[in-house]
Amino acid sequence: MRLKLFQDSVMKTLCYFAAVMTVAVCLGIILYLVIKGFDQLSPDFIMTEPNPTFSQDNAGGILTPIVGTLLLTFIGTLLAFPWGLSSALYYTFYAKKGKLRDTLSTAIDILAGVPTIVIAIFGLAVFTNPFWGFLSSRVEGVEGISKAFGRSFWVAGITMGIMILPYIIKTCAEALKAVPPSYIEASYALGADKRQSLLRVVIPAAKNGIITSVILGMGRIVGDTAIVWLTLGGTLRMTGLQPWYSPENWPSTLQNTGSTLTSYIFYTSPAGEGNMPSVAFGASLVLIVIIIVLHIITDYISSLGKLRDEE
Amino acid sequence: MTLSNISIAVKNVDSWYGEKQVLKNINMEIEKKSITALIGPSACGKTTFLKSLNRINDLVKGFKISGIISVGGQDIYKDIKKASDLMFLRQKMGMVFQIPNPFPMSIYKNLALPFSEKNNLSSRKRIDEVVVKCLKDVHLYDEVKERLDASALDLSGGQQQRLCIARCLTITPEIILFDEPCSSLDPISTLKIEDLLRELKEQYTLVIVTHNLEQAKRIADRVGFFYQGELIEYSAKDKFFTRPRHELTQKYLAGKF
Repeated sequence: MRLKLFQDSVMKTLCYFAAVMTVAVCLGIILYLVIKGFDQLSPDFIMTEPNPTFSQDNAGGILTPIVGTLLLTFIGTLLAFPWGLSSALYYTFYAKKGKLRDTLSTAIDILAGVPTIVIAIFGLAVFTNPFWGFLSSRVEGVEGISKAFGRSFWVAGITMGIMILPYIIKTCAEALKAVPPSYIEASYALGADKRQSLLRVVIPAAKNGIITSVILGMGRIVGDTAIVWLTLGGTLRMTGLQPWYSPENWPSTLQNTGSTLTSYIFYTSPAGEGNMPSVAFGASLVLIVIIIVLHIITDYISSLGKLRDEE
Repeated sequence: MTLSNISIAVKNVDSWYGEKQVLKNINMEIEKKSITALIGPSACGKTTFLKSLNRINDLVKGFKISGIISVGGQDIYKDIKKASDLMFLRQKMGMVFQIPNPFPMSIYKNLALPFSEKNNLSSRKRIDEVVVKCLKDVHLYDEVKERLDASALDLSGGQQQRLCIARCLTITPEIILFDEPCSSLDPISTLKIEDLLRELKEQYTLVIVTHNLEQAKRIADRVGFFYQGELIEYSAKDKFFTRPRHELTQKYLAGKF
């Protein structure tokens, strides 16, 4: 009996420590970044463009990496959301049980498991095809070579969209499946067809879950490095027509290369290819803050849903 | 019943879920502008029968049916081939479910949505009129007029059920089917719904499945007793409760099963 009680308390203590360690790791990372990066943070750091240099004092800020991160998130989400939601609708409400549905399910699972660096290589392979030249730029003036450059905000954004597609499909399908059949029944009983029922009743009912899935997808884009590294080109600054921020130059900016927070960290940190640890830490802190904010929004939205259920 | 008085005519209907037969040779005529109550023990086929009338059972896998159900002279299984005709049939027949199922949106939108979708209409003024009228018809308007934009899920169960009835009225049906509409409600909400049903039968044909004998006694004009998939007895209410013909009906009314 005593042995049993002892085993019980050992078990409990082990689990407790495992849980505490998890929290400690998370807090440790955040604390470390705050200590190392907080000094860097200033309106100036956020609002100026980075400068490729060896001198830390002239390194500038992280304006274009932040904009780059936002651009990729925007393009990727814009592509993956309607695509993913439609696939999820097909999977949940149209596909009959059978080969096609199974194939779709397997494809989603495999795609979710493909490392992003592989997706990046695939993206590069596709978008260097001259046909897709309008998304980046064509390599011109080189005898015997007809290829597109294959690195730009368009290319990286689209590749990001493909990367998050399986997650969006899965989480949207779960949200759609959770809609009570009684809503759908009521809709049919009112003489609505399938399209009306899905658009007007099911999707609004699954709204919270769908929004959550999109935000989780955004989080993955914000945090990804491999796709940026291969398909956005290794430049710190925007390389389109300058100034990159004036509206008439936006098309050119999107067709050309730049950086995101993750690639900026890689190119400035000594752990990557740089020699400016303090700006790298500053950028890491900004990145983690973005991730935390996305997480808080997700939590808030799912708490809205819970309140409703308890009533 | 004279022919012109018949809203729904059912002839030799059998139905199955997969291999299991759930309705056996049902014959029944349902009168216009009256309340027909269907009673019987659990799993006797009464809900299946009700849900066959607007073909909402089509959504159930493995459901099969034979025989004739004619609504307004149209055989709803043989004559209706196109999806649009099926939608049209369902717009002629409202349905209220056992558990109130307002859509998870505002009270206003619950009524505006089916009306504007059916009529392809977006005139806010016309929609407002219909919403108010339907809410008044179910005596819900005074209780919710201050908060039409609040979520329908914040209403009480009884209010939700009346909202669901109002939602049916927005599509101006001729027939309304009720599947145990009061089984999840408290007694006071139940009485309110029953009063409402009595008013509604002035304009609509009502078919109601109920577990509650007393309810059938209070509101029905005709009563049908289902047992193990068969329609054992079907007659006017007074006759049904005072002089039931069939032994099984007598036993059921006496609470013997």
